[in-house]
Amino acid sequence: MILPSVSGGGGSAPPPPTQVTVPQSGGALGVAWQRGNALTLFPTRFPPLDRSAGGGAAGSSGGQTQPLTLVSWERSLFEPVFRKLINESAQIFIQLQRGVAPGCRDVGRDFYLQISRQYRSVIRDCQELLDGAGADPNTMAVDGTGDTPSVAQSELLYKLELIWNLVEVLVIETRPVSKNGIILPQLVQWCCLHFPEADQKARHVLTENPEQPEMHAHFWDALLLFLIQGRTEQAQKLLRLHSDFGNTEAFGSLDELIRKMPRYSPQLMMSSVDFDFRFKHWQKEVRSRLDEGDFASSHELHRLALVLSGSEEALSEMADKCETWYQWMIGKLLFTQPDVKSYDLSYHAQQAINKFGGLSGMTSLDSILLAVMESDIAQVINELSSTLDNHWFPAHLLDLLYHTDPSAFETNPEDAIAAANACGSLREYLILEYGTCLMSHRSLWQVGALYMDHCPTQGKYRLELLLERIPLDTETKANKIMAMANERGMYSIVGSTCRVMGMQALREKRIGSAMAWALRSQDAQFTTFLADQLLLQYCEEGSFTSADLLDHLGSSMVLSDRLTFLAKYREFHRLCSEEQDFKAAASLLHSLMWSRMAPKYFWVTLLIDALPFVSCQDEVLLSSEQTYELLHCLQEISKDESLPKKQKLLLEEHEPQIRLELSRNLAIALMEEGDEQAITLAR
Amino acid sequence: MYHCETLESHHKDLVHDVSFNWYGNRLATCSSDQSVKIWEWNTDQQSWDCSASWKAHSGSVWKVNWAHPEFGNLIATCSFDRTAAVWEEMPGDSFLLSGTGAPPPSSHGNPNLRTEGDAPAQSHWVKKVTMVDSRTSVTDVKFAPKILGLILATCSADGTLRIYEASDVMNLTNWTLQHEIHTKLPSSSDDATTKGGKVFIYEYHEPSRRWENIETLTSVSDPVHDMAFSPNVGRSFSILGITSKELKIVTLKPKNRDALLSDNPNISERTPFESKYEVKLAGSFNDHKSTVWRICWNFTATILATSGDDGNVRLWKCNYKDNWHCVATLKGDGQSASIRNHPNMTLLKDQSFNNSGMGLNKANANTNANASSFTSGMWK
Repeated sequence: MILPSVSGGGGSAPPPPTQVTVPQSGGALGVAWQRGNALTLFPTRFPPLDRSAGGGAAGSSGGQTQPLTLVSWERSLFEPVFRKLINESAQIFIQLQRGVAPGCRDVGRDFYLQISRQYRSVIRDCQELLDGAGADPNTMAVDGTGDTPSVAQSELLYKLELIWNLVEVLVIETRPVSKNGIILPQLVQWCCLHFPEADQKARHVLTENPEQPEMHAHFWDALLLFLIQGRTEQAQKLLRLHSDFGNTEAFGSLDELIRKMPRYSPQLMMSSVDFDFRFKHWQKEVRSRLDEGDFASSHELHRLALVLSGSEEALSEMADKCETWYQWMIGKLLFTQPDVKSYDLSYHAQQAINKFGGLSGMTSLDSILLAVMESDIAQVINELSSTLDNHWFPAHLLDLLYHTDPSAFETNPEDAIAAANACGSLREYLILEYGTCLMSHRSLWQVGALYMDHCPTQGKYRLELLLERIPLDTETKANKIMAMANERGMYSIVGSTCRVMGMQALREKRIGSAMAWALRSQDAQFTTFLADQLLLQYCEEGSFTSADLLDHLGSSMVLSDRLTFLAKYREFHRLCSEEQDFKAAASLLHSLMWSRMAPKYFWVTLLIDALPFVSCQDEVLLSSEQTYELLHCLQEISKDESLPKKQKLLLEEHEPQIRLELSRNLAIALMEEGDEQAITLAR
Repeated sequence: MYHCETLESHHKDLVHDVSFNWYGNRLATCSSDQSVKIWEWNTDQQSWDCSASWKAHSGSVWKVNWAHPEFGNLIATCSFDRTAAVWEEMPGDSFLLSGTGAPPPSSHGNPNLRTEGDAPAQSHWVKKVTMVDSRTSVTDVKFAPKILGLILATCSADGTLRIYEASDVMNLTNWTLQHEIHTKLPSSSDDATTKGGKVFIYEYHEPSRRWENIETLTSVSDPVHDMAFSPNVGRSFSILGITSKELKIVTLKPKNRDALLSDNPNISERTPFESKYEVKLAGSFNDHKSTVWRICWNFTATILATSGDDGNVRLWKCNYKDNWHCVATLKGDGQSASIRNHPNMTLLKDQSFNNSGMGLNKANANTNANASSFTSGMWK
């Protein structure tokens, strides 16, 4: 993440395409997309040509080919150090969306300010983390520039916070109150916060020359910097440390002027006109004292007084002492136009930039700050997006601004609704980009999904596309994805996830597990296939691998006929082995076959299963009618040409015995039933 | 910032196609050396490992394409040997157990990569079916979107498009040739001088159970090398990218959505000349300043990648005013050296398509299956 120096351009034309050079020989490059912001380039030839046909020339590359290049971007956020930034900003984002959700109490400026400050504090936290990492000798730079990557990134975060703070001051804090409100106090405060140079210089002066501070090279600079940051108390304190203070009239005079300087404060409930009157009166006094030669004795004092008087010349000279154009501009405005309105800021900013060498010498940070001062939010986002590697910053910032005042999106909106719509579209675009980027990451995808929920137009579709491409490495992950999809009514993803998991289990020969997934997806075809697999497995091995699952199918067994049969067949086994209810077991066996619920290939097995029941000596378990019907089934199956070979062989082996036992049972059953009939009749 | 890493393919001849699977964690490459290789992303070592490599055809393998994982681990390949094939991955030892299907023709991995312990398990890819209907080189192969089932489209050098369907998704050895479409213009020959449209759009017509030519794009008359429908992302229209002498982006918006939403009987009452789509040229770009050969969408349909004769790969995005523009060019540095730091690629304003929330209808998605297939001037 770096802020390259690009001059601020017009916002209308699309930016020129980024040039990327990849390690590849020249020549044709093929391309294939991966998931997320990643693609693969491969050297190839267009149009494709088969060498064997094209004259049989051997490979020109001498049997070896160029490597593939895998290119990816927007990866900087995936560094572990940004994990906290991502998670905490997501929480703030959600908090904001909840706050503005329809039905919530009307939120005011304070709410947005609080959100804005939370975002800034997250940025500062991350900056501290980076500074901590930078101090760690283990992460020393390897690029030889001396700067560790974390130093550069920490610097970038500092700049981003600077931008956010200015936006907060000029747009979030000021704008909703009144567009014509006085903004300079906030600007001055912003400047103080980010430019501690005056304090540093004062500290140097005091520690290095405590006796005669005025001898220190930075004494007057520090004093001037305090003044142009409007910090009159500090300026007075420093001035009083001068050895000549008290001895010379001039010092007392300047001290008094500084003390008297009118300061605008919203708390004072002072009207703009009233303040203007008092300020002009004060400057008149400064000028008259200058004219009277109060400060003629000291060149330095004279210069400071000139600054106080708002002298163009003195203020212009002062530019050398300022690091940046905005610092100078704010200082200058403090003494020339303290009641500057936000719509005038743009003019002053342009002037300041010209003073500092014009736009061409500006970095993108400068042009972004300029755009903020011009209240050109669209341009701010434009510059940010073309400068930063990812969309974290513009997405969160614009989201907040959109909720604060969507019509502020364009400087001079002819149509407030159109401006708000454009702002909404851009907001959604940025959030989609940011969320999409997170969703391509192994573990951040769940955070990314949260953002999609707050994109009214495309969010749902995008989330659906992204969710179904999350690799299903583990069952836990699959369950998470299904829970998310269920919550959002994306049932096709639920089904698809189950089927993929089922196929995977099947490939690994875990048929029971595959069956569980198939049942969850309610896929009848797949369930039938798996039930068949289980039955075949039973035919081979003579036992069930997934008995537990089959015993607890409940109502889901009706999903497929084959599954119902499988469950019933399993019940038959339980009746025999656990409950020893042979009568019921025999009836069930009969009904499974006679109702034709059993697949044909399984009939042979069922008939063999029936053998012990019909050869039972103690009790008649199957009635004559049932036995007759089983004989019918035997007849049918033995004439069936489509029976698998294996089953056919099995049948050939057992058929005589089955036929014999069935006939015998029929005879016994008939006799017994005859007896019963006779007894009934006799009564 | 761009991050680059290289992967030695160890193919003995030119690579013609590279394709990622659904999840982006596996990669298939195919080459003029007649082989196909499968690569797995190794999360622990952060590297791509070759897990299978085999001779798939007896001619150059032009394309390789993955099926949706719902159908298992399947790829389709097509070749100069006039066949297309579907391959399924068998778990490690399965072909020894199952006894069905012959072991893969040659499934030896790269010996260099097969070190002890940490090497990925060699997987076995079994040929499930060979499509032998074409009498000329099969130039492209693509699975349909999964919503349509397990369907495969192929096209051949003679301009014939074939659509196959697996009769039973659990038994991949049975594929039936469902449709055969001859896209050649009656008067056309292989030279590019043929007048008239070169892009035909076919749609499955339920009542007649046929694919019907519903649209001929008159705006494209130069030979077309590749084309691709954008994935369905909830837009109310389809976007088609076409590459010929230049890149063209076309949108197709259904004129009467009600008629398309269901299999409305009214459709059959339409006169054949009445177009069902409002076709608009969204952009025409000659940034490559030469022939554009390939086109490829990312799966969120937000970025389009093209490769041209100038050796560049360009990435395209659409802004919120529906204007497409190039956002990045990727170019070989002429030597395989280290990478310098690149500025980042991002976009400013974008996609704010006002969606009605309607997904693409079925018939429309059908055409998707055959993207890059309907050109009369596919590479000669």
